[in-house]
Amino acid sequence: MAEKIDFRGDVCHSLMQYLPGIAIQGYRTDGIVFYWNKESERIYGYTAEEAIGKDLGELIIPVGVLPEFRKVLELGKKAGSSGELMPAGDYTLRHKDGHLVPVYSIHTVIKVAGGEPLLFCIDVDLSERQKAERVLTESEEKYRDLCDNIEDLFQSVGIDGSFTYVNKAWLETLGYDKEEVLRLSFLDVIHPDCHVHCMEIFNRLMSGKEVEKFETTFLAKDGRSIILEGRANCCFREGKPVSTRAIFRDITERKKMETSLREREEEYRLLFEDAADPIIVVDADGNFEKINKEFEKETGYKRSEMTGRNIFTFGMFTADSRAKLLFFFKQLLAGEELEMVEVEVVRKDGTKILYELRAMPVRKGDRIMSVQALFRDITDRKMTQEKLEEYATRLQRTNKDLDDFSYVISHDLKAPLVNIERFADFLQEDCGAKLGDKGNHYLERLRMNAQRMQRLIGSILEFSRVDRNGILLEEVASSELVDEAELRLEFLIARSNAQVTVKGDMPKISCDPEILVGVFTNLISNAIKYNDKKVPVIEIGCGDTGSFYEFYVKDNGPGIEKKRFEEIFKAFHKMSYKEGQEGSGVGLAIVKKIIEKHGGTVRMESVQGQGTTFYFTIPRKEL
Amino acid sequence: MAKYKILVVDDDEDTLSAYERILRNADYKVFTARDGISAFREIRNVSPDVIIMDIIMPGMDGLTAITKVKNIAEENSIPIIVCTTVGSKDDEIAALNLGAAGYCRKTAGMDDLLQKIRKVLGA
Repeated sequence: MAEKIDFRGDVCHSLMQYLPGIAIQGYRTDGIVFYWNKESERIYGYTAEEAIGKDLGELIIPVGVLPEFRKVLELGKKAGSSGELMPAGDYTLRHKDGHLVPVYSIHTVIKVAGGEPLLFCIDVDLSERQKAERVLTESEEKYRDLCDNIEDLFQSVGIDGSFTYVNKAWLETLGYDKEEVLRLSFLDVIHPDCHVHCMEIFNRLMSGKEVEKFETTFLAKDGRSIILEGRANCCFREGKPVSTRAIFRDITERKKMETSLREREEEYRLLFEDAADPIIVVDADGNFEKINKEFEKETGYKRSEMTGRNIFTFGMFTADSRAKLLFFFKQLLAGEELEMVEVEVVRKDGTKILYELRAMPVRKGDRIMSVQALFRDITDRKMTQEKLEEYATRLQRTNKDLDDFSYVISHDLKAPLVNIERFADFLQEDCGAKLGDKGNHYLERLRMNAQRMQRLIGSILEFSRVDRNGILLEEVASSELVDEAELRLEFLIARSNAQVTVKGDMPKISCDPEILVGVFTNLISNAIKYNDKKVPVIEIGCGDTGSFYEFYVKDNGPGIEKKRFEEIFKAFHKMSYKEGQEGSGVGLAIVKKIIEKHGGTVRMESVQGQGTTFYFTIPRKEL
Repeated sequence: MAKYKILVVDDDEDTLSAYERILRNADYKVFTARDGISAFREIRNVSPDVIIMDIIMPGMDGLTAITKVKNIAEENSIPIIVCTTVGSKDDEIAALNLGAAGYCRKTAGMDDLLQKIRKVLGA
C-alpha cells in the first residue's frame, strides 16, 4: 500500500498542515511568509490568510529576537543545499494578542533548483511544559522553605548512604555546614553504638519494609551526643529505591529530664519505702494509694490487705482517733494548714500504738489530689513525758513534805525549848538563893543555850518558809524596806552604836516586801554582829545595771577571806563571831534563796581588814 | 473586885503549867484545856473573860476553834488571843481575820502576852 502513496503531494502537505504540537512557518529569505500551518494558527493567533504575505519578523518576532532572526535570513540566503540546519534553541516569540510564547525553534532551508531558498521555522510550543516546570520549582521551593523552618531535623540519604539533603535545623543541631554534609555518609554522624541498629533500619527501608518510630544517637560535629527520635521512609521510583528520608526530633533534653525524673522518682520511692517512720498516701476520699514497709510492719497488716481500702472504714483507728482524724482530714482538704494530730492505731493483733500524724496535701494545680501521712510513734515520748510529770509531782510532794517536816519538827523542837527556858526562869525565881553562885551560873548557861537553840530553829523555819510560800510581787519603795529592817534591828543597832546610812536614791522595785525586808535585816545584822570596830559603819545603796537594780550593804568589819566566799552562802555555815553575838549560820543562805526567788543574784566583795560589801540584784520591771 | 478568868488552850502540859504560874502571878484566875473539844466545855462552864489559844493542836486546830467560838452567839464576844510557837505573818493575818483580838509568839517571859491581855481587858 505504502509504495502507491505519493508523499510529495497532498499527503505531505496534510501531514505538515496538521502536525500536532508543531508549528511550521515557511518564509522567504526576505522574511515574507508563504506557508503557515494549523498549529502556527493556534500558538501565534494568526490565521494562514492573515499571515501569508506578511513579514514574519513583524508578525511574531519580538524586538529582542530580531537580530537572531536576521542572522537566520542571512544564513538562508547563503545556504548551499536543502536540509541545512540553522541554529536551534529556546526562544520567546510573540502571539497576535501580544503575549509571549516560549518555543523551541528549529530552522531549516529547502533549495529548489533555480529557485531561491525557502526557509522553514519549526516551533515546539513550550508554554505547557514551562508552566509545569514553574509549578514544580515553586512547590520545591515551598517544600524546602518548610523544611528549613521546621524545628525537626530532616535528612534525605541516597542509596549509597550519602546525604543528599539536610535541613537547617539538622545543620544547626549537629553543627555542620551544608557543603561538608554532602560529602558525608549517614553513618559518619551516628554514634558508633547505634551503627548496627541504623544499618538495620536503612536496609529494611531499602527493601521496601516499613520502620516504626525509632530512637538513635547522633554525634554532633563537636562530639556531643544528640539523642533523636524519628520516623523514616524510602522513596521508590520504578520499583527501585532512590533515597531514604527521615525526620527527627531532638529529645536530648527530654531524655535528660526523663532520667533525672526517674532518678528522683527512685529516690523518692526509696525514701518513702525505706523510711524509718510509717508513711501512707491516701486519695482525697481516704483510700489507700501507697503504703511503705514500715507501715506494714507497724500495723501488722499486709499491703495487699489495705490497698484500695479506705482508712476510715478499715478499722485501724480507735473510735476517738477516727473521729479526730476525719475532722483533721476534712480541714486539710478544705485547704487549712494543719500541723499534726495524735491518733491511736489499732494493730492487726489488737494492740494499740499512739502516733503523731503529720499530713501533707499533694496538689495538682489548686486541687488536693492526695494526702501523704507520716506517723511517728510517740508512745515512748508520751511515756517519758508522763514519767517526767510524775517525777515532777513526786519531787514537788517530796519538797513539800520536807518543808512541812522541817516546819513541824521546828515547832515541836521549839516549844520544849521555850519551856526549858521558862522553867529555868522559874527555878531561878523560886530557888535562886539556895542554888548559890555556881548553881545560878549553870542555870544561866542552860537559859543561854535554850535561847541559842531557839534562834537556830527560827532560822531553819524562815529558810523553809521562803520555799513553802511563793513570792507575792508588789511595787514598793526600797527605802521603806530599809526603814523597816532598821526598825526591826532597833535594839541591836542602839546596843552596838552602829551607824546605818543610805547613800543616794533608792528605787521603786517589784518584790515581795515581807520577805525582802528579811534580806536587809539579815545583811545589816550580819554587818553589825561580825563587826570588830567600836563603831560599826554600814552603808546601803543601789546602782542601776540595765535590766537589774543592784543593791549593796557595805560594812567596815574585818573582811572575809576570798576562799570562804563560796561557802558563806551555804546554809548552816557559821562565821566566827564575837562572844555574845551569835548567829544561826542560816542568814546568808536565806538571803540567797530570797534573791534567787526574785530572779536576782548575790555576790560579795571583801578586802581583809577593810570590810565587806554584799551585793544583790532585783530584776527591773517597767513600773 | 473579882479576878478575870482566863482560859488557856494548849496541847502541851508543861506549857500550860508555865501559863498557869505566870498568869496566876499576874493575878488572873486560870483555867486550862488541852484541845478544842475540852476548850468548848470550859468556855460553857466558866465563861472566861479572855481565851488564849495555840494554833497547832491535835484534834481541832486553833484557827478552826476560833471560827467555832465566833459562830456561837453567846460566846462570840469573848476576846481570843492567839499565842503560837512558830506563827508566821500569814497565820497572824488569818487569825485576826477570823476575829482574834490579838496575836503573839510564845517566849519564855510572856511579857508580850501579858501586855496584850491587859489591853483586851481594858485594864
